[in-house]
Amino acid sequence: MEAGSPEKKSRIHWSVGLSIFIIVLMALAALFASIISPYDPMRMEIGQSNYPPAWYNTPGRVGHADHLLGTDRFGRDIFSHLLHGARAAMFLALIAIPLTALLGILVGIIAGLGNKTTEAIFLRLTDIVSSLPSFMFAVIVIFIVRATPTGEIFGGLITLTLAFALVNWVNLARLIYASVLKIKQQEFMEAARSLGAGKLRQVFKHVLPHISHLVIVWIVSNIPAVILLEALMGYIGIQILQRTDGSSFQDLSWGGLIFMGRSNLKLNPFMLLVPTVCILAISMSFSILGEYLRERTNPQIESSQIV
Amino acid sequence: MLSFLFQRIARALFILVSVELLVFLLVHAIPGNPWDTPDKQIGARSALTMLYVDDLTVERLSQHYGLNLPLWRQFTRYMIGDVETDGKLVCGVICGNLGLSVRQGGRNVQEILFSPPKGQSPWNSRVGYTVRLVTYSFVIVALLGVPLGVASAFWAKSWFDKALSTLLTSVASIPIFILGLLSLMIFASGLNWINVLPDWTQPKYWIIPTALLVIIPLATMVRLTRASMLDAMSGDYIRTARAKGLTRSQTIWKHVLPNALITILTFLVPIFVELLAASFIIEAIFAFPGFGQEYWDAIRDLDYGRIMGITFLYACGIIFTNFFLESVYRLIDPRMRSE
Repeated sequence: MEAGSPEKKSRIHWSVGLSIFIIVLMALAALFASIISPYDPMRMEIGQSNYPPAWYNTPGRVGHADHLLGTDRFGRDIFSHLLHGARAAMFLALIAIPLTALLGILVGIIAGLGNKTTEAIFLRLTDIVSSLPSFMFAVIVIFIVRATPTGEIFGGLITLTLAFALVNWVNLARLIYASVLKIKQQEFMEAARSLGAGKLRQVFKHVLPHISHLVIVWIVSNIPAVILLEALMGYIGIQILQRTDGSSFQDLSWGGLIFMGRSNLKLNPFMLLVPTVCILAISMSFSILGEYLRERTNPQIESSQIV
Repeated sequence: MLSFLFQRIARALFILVSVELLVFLLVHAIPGNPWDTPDKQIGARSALTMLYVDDLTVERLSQHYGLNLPLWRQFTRYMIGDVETDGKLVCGVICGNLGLSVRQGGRNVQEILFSPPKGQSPWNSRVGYTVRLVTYSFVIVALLGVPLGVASAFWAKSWFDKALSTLLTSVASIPIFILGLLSLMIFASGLNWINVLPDWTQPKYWIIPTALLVIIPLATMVRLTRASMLDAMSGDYIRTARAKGLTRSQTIWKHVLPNALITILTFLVPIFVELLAASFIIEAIFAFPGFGQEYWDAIRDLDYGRIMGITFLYACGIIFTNFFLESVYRLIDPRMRSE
């Protein structure tokens, strides 16, 4: 069949290319946010509050060319906020996802290779966590962590990281547990055991290489989830930073921008629309990439079809 | 069968108590009390909820709601029951009493959740709304997802299969709250089809929330159905069926589909859980009067009784669904019964 021909497989679909391009673009924006952004996103200008976007030209409300997306009610530049928000999203993707993955892999492997007791504890634990409403669990964790000194680290992003990790490790751990059980039955594992390989050697030599594709697909397709959690908290109005002085400044993120834009919809709809479109682009890119990787790393389903 | 039943009931009880204990400890680890939460200043609700409560009043209110008892006493009081100072016996969750809502003038949580507005059917209660929304979506997902998955497995690798999978993947990767937001902007602000605060007793306003809730797991449903169909097609008995002269569609209807359906059934639980979790977001976006909406408020208000009551109901829903589908699974698949 034509689908199996080698040159067709090695060519990357244009949507995958576009996704990679968008991801690289966002990474660059995040990396050089402080250089590209025209202003310090936290700098307030009293006389310049609530500017509309630069292309506005209605009587009474004219955009200013030096503030591309306008300003918020404190006179802070929204475009700079957006660029720094990309940095926050990237940070979450780089910290929260590996942490969650590590937790999931560790628990999954221990449960899979351990004895009956660890297995039973693991199964009951996953039962409990999956019977909790996940968003609520995340919000409760956010409320607890943000009141402690830890919550101030990285502008509150550590709070979200912990919330995400504590809620989402279960999915990966289950996935890995199931595949470790399968791997345990295979002949090469039996051979390794009978040759006297220790548990650690079994894990690093035999188990980890066999679950690596699962982990990679999970990581790629879950990066949007953490960015989304942040934005959702912004949209619902759960603040991840607790300010005791009564000011309700948001952290520099897309969620923070959405939180502000939500109540200024009439004044400047682009405050909500632009970060939303950014999140949309990023999450679609990552899920297209994840889908592509899933297909590439798991080809056996398609090929063994008889009828 | 009886031992299976006992085992499941014991496990369900264990999960319920653990979930409640976990949520209890976590909620009490949040600093502050229900009358003085850090989120009071936020948003439009502030004007209504920002009450000035002095320390003496807080003390007396805590006394009234039993919040100054030691933590373990508070937990047993909630789960089992307690004797009040005036000698009256208060029964806890084991009698179906989900506790008092601190923030809603001491109304019972079950009354808040289960009693409908005056003169309406019980389906118009908080729980009724959510149950209806999630059930409609669940049924639509199953009725739409399975046939679409079967069709795309039947015509695997055709233009139909490719177009469907591309369409569903791209729609499903749009975050749900963005879809909700966009649909509000388009249908409410732009086209004026729905009100931003609609009358939820009228069916036409349910279309958009239900449709959004269906979109979330539909792609997963179709993909899993397709995968399990293709998996069933690769069995040796399929080759035998073809060899003895059945046509392709006969084989698929008689041999592939029944076997694939067993696998598909196992996917329904995670999909239901996903739906229930997503309904919280949908309810928050559309101000839908279900219990998800109540939950966001409860957490922001730090209303211990309401949070624990809703958690309890949620866990019950998930455990029951799990149990129901597992029983169906045992009924259908003879291999499961012998174990």
